[in-house]
Amino acid sequence: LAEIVDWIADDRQTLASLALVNSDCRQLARSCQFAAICFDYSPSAHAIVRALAEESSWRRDGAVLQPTIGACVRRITVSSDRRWVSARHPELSDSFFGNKVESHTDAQRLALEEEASKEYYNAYYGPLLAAISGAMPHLQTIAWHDRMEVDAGFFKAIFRSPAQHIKLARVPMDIPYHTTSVSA
Amino acid sequence: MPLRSLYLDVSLAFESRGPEVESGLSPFFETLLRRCAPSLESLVWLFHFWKADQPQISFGANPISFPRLKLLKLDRRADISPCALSALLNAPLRQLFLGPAPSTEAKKSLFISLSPLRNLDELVIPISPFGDFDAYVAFLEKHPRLRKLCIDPCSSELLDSGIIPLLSAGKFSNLRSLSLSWYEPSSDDAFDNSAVVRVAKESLAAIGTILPLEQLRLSTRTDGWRRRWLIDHDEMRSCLVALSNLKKLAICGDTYETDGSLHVVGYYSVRTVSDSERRDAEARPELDEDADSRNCDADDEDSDGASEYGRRSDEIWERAHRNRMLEQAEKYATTLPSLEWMYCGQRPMEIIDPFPGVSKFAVPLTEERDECFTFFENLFAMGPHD
Repeated sequence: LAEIVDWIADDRQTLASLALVNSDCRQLARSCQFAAICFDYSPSAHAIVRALAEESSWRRDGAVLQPTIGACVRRITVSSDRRWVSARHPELSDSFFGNKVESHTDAQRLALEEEASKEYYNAYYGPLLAAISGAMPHLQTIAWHDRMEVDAGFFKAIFRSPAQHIKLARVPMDIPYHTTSVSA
Repeated sequence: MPLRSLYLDVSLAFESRGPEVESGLSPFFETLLRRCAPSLESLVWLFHFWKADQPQISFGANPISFPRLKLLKLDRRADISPCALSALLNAPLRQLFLGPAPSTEAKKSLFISLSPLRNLDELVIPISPFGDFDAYVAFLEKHPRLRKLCIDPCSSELLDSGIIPLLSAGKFSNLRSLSLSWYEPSSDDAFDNSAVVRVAKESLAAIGTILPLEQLRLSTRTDGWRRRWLIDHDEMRSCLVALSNLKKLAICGDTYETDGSLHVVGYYSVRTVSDSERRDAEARPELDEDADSRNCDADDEDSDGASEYGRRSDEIWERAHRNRMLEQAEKYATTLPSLEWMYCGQRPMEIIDPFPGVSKFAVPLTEERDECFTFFENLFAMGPHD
């Protein structure tokens, strides 16, 4: 069966069909479907973040009974797509682009920005860090391209993960963390 | 799991800047690298969004050792203390992109006194006008076993009188890949032909004595639309004739004279069409069959007189230019027996040999002119920064 999966590894639709056969097939399909994940802020990226964060809490409680998605992940790329950000925060997007720009004051724009940031950190970034630090035992590579500020928890998470290859591309930090998070 | 590769490009968020916070950056990098150093094999350390006046990065009192580090890429904006730089350069490096210039006395003496990097195969060293030229030459002199060298950019004076004589003196007997870029400061607003550059024939002839070369890229500074190197291909061929192993040759920043055009530096943007372009455009009709049949279809639908004329004129110019470059490439292929690939006039071309012993042909590899930036960075340097 594993050999067959090798043959269809690039065929997303066939993998999706295989996943529906039974739980063995599902896990085999997942090992290809989730080997490399791009977190682009799309609805499916949010869904995977939530699923992985949940798996990380099972792992923390020592209750990993069923095969997980996290075990299949080898590489993650975190790079939010502007279009998905606009789609998720339409009011914020309208305050910067399009024909409703004029109707927003700076204060309103700032409030919208804060609200969107809060959602990014609470519903996305936080669970994603939890997933990085505890839900992907075979993770090899992390590439982080998001331009939102990272905090101490970020460095803790990436150093807790098993990743051997880390790329931090133009990542802004809120303050430098020399004592808390990066030391061994 | 121990970290094997780290691509590190972090900076302080805009709101967080200020002397107190900035003073924490150096300890941050120190702690981070001290933690990864024992297992690290590859470090790309870049400084986008770095502020010029931020405190220098040092590794504190205890030196850090990088026993496995094989690849190091250090941005030119990296303001790293000589001690920290020396710790990084003491690693068993194979590939090195060395951005920081020997701009202070301490760094100059580091470049000069450093013991040779025994395993170094590839060196990419942009030579800053703020650096000390003797220090660069001394550094290069220590590494005659290099297989790949990219010096881009470099002042013409240093290339012609320091680096090329050093490379061509016979010591660099492993050098397979070389990329050099002549940087001639000139007034940017010059539109006339006073801005034209000619690379010294002596330098080209000296490069022609580096016999192990398999790939060679020669370029001159470009800025915006200006191309300044009024190249003499016959002279170039006579200089490179001995490079019998050369497989790939790239010439960048080259420009040409056209009948009726005053602007050699604007050759690619003015695109003057005269009788000779019309004639040369017809030289290889087999390459244009597909495009011509597409155009015929389009012509039936709509044709606006003026823009149609402009399009036709550009097309004639591009075809004439392409055909001239193909002709040059074929002449190079006659001179250089191993040549497989050639780039000049912004056209990448392949040399094919369908009937061995008869004559070789050059074929265009792209539909249009292409700067091939990423390709060159990958081929001659250590890949593009992104």
